[in-house]
Amino acid sequence: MFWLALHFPRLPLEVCSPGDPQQAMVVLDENRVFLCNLAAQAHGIELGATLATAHSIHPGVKHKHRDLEAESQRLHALADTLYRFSGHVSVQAPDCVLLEIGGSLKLFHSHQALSEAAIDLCQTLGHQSIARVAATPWAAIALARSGRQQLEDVALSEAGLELAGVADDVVERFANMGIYTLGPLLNLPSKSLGRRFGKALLKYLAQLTGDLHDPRKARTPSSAFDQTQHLLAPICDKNDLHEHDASPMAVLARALQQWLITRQLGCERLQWQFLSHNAEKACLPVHFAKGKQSAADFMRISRLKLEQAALPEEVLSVGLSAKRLQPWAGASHGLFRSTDHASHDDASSSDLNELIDEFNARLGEGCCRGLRITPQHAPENTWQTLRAHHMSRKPAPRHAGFEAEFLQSLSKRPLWLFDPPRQVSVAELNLLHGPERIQTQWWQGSTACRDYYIAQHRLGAECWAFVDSEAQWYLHGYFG
Amino acid sequence: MDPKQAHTTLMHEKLTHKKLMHKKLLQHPNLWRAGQMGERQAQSQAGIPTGFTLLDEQLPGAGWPNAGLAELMLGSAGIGELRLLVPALHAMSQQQNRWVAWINPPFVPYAPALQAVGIDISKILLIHPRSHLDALWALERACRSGSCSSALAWLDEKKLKLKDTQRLQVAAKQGRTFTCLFRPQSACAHSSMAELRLALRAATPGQVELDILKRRGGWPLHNLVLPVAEATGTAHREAEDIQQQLILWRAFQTHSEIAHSDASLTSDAPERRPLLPFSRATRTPRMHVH
Repeated sequence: MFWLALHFPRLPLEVCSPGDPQQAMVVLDENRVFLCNLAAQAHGIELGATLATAHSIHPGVKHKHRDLEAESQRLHALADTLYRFSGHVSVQAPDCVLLEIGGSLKLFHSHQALSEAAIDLCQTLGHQSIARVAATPWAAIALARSGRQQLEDVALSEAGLELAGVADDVVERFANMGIYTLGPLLNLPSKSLGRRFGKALLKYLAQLTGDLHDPRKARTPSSAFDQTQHLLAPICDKNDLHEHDASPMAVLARALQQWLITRQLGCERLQWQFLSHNAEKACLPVHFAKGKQSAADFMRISRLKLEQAALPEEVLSVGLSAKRLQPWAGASHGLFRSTDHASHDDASSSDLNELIDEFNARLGEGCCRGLRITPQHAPENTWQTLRAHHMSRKPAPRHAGFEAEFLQSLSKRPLWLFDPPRQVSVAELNLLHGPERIQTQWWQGSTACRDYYIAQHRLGAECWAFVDSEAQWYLHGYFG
Repeated sequence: MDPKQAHTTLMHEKLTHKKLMHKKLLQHPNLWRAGQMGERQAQSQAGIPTGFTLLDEQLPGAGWPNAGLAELMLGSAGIGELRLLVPALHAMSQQQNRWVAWINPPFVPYAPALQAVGIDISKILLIHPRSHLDALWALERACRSGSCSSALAWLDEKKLKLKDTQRLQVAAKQGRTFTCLFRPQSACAHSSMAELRLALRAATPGQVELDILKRRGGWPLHNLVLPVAEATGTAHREAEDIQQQLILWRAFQTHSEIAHSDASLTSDAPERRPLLPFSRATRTPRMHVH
């Protein structure tokens, strides 16, 4: 067993969407400054100060109260994302994610490479992290929290005693004894420590050094993606929602991308949610012809859709949920695809689907359709449109025996069909060929008996006309 | 050799040299000569064969532009514009794995008939945008994306501007798409950036008469007659007996109109009505019983 702990020191700040980095910003916990951003630090605001002090130092400072629930949610989302590095991921509240990496070392060659990859991944999701590797979970957490390399140097206040069921005042009592770090504490005889400070401390120390087994419950990754970004200031301009890299939609799209890669899934349908102050809600579903995985694809289609959508005037939170997922099917490309001229006339199927996605996003669902033949007798029923999404997925059902014979019978059909047929006066027609009698659906009771003629219309078009049993003439199509 | 003779030989040599240079110059690939329409252009940029030899000979690249905008000006709808394109659409839909986009078609493209003339209908994409701007956007997007082998569009003539055609032409070049705009006859008077403009008129049944109004590297050309019906196997002979039938029908219609206007005669009409249409149909039974 080999453990990697990732500590997120700035998580309370990072859970609210990153605004202007120049804006001084502090997070308050019990009315004291708990964490401040770089701009606030530059102004000289110190941790532990009251809000009044912070305001007197820099009047323009913005503040926000610590949101433990949001932090925990984000931590769990991060744990889900980090699932790609290890099958055994657990969360150590409030600010650590723990990975068992013993089984992943062969794949990543070394724990350094793995740590770097994990830190990079957290960075792309907008989280600063410290990674430390140790033989036991507690040791890894203690090292990560303190940012040290040696267990001896880890200060007791950062060692995680309070999490192991040891009270805060114990740390103070140690301080009175002159013990500030884990090193001297581990050197003390355990029996007498146990007598004075209780079994919880002994258990913690045994698990820290590896004398006692420390089972961790592995997290099962969530099977649904649903994340929300709460904004500090309401956004009124649609462009601010998606335009730059740090905009809420872009951040969510990237999070979804990582989530999908981890699970080797593609997203076919996702839904954006925009909430305003007064809980006014706008949903924006986005469909894809084929499962997509990259944030760029999500954003490209979502942007088209967003242009058409009506949003609340002031958007305060943005949510993204993946509605329909599919196993990811990657496409293989030639190594020199971009320079391959021979394949110019053949677009890859992903390109073909992208066009449909864009049409559906901009023009609305159902504006873009495909054609299909159905084995019906009445001429107006032998065709059908179908949603272009379906078309790309499965080819039209083929009725081999029926088709050849059927198509044979259709050699004298017009390329343009009128739906419904148009009334016409026979005086406008010059008959060329016919008649062909088509009697439809006599078995269903509604018998329509038509004699079809090929005729030339007064305006010059060759047309397909019929006369029904009421002796009324209709145009049913042009030969085009 | 006397000097005079030497001079003439020299002159002769100079002349032959000049002739040779001239001949070489004529073979320069960038030089276009009106006489060699088809052959020379075919080498530089091959088009999509139209399926009509008569038309291929007159078009640059011996066919429809495989990357560019063409315009068909129609006197009225349905006079043969689709059958003119059928051979090209057939080839493109079968050979290329790209869409054939139909934007805003005025009627329903009849799937069984399209299949019967060899067009792969699974490549057809029907797009019905709600507004003119959306239609323009969709057409341009289809052209530019490179995932359409051809795009056929029926746009709102009143709102179509010259600069739109230029955008479409550029987009079609970029996406290597044969883009075809169908416009009314009145559009002949407006200028357009399309690289090929044809005006279509109805001729005798099964034929279409066309004028080339604009083409790359050639003058306008008038009155080409193309047998569109033969190319698509939809030729219909004009039968004598149907003509008689038609005369009967016309007579019947005028009669029934009189009958409808005259209340006293309406009772006669139902008895007389079935006689005409059904007598003939029973003589040549073509019943489709499913």
